[in-house]
Amino acid sequence: MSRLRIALLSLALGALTMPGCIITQANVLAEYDLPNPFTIGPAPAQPLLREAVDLNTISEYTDHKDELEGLSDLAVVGRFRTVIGTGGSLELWITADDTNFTTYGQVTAGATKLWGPASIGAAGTPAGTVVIGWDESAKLFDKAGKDLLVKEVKGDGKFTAYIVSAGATTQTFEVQDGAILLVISGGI
Amino acid sequence: MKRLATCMFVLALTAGPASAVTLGVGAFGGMSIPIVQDDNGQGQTYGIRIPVGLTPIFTLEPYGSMTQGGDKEETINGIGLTRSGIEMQSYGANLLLTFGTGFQMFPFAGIGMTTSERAGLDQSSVQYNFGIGLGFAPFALPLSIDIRGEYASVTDEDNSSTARNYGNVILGATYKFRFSGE
Repeated sequence: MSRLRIALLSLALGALTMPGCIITQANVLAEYDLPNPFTIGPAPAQPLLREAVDLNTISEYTDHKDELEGLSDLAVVGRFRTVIGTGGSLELWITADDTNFTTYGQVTAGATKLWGPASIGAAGTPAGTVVIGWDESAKLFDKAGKDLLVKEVKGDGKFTAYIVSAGATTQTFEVQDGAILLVISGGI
Repeated sequence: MKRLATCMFVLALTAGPASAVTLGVGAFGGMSIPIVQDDNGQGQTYGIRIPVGLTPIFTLEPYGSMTQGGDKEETINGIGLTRSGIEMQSYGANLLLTFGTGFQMFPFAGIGMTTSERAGLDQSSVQYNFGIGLGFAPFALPLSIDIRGEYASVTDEDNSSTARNYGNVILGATYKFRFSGE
């Protein structure tokens, strides 16, 4: 009877470990810093922020790249401020390839929305300067953009990100201490 | 998932005729420790079990549990950030193989469904459990107590090859009703 128990226990443990070694998965935080600070709006500011993201510059990513399976959490965080205007919203769009869009119309036509809109109040008001935190930011992700990002994370780790103002073009926004947070899932 | 469920079902069916079936009701609670999860903190878990003693060896134990992960704090570029812990509601069944009487040791394995929620997360997925328990079940009393170390893997809804893993340390108490068979 003792042999039977040991055999059954071994069988059960064997079955548990079969589905892709899920019991050895880790969820590791990787941080990609955005330019600090950056401003978007009418001249003299730039109309949008274009950032060629290379995750291979992040050690947490390269350390787990070979066993990487996906993303378990995402956030865009930072201090967001309306410099000029009555407020509006910011969005993050991405393309898999190295693109060079220069207008909001080109971005929305050729990229995939990943995050936003994040609303910011009027300049000079308390709502005009906000810290967008992890919980608040994690709710703003778009499924299509996340799917594309997962594909790029599992691929070469390179993509192009655009942060754009989704409202009136007369608004000017500044972002300080901004970062994209990725919680990557993979083998230990 | 199907492989393990089939395995457990076959084990239960082939366990042999029961001479005395027991049915119990139990409660448990303890610590839930995320394993290598940078965005989820240590929390608590608690729930109920309904152990069905099929034979002296095998116990099939349906369970329902609630787990509240702890908040995780990070400082990014000088900004203090908080990520809320994951709240999970689970139900499923474990199969226990019991060694000993009175003082008992019981390896176990099981499968269930888990709903995971927090800001930006709302998913239902498969959970796998395995671990080992130590129990004390005096002959004269229908009450037993146990402590378990459990490893739980909660898979991702969209990608079953990724998972969040937890180490649970759980104290439990069970009251058993005995039904005589053939």
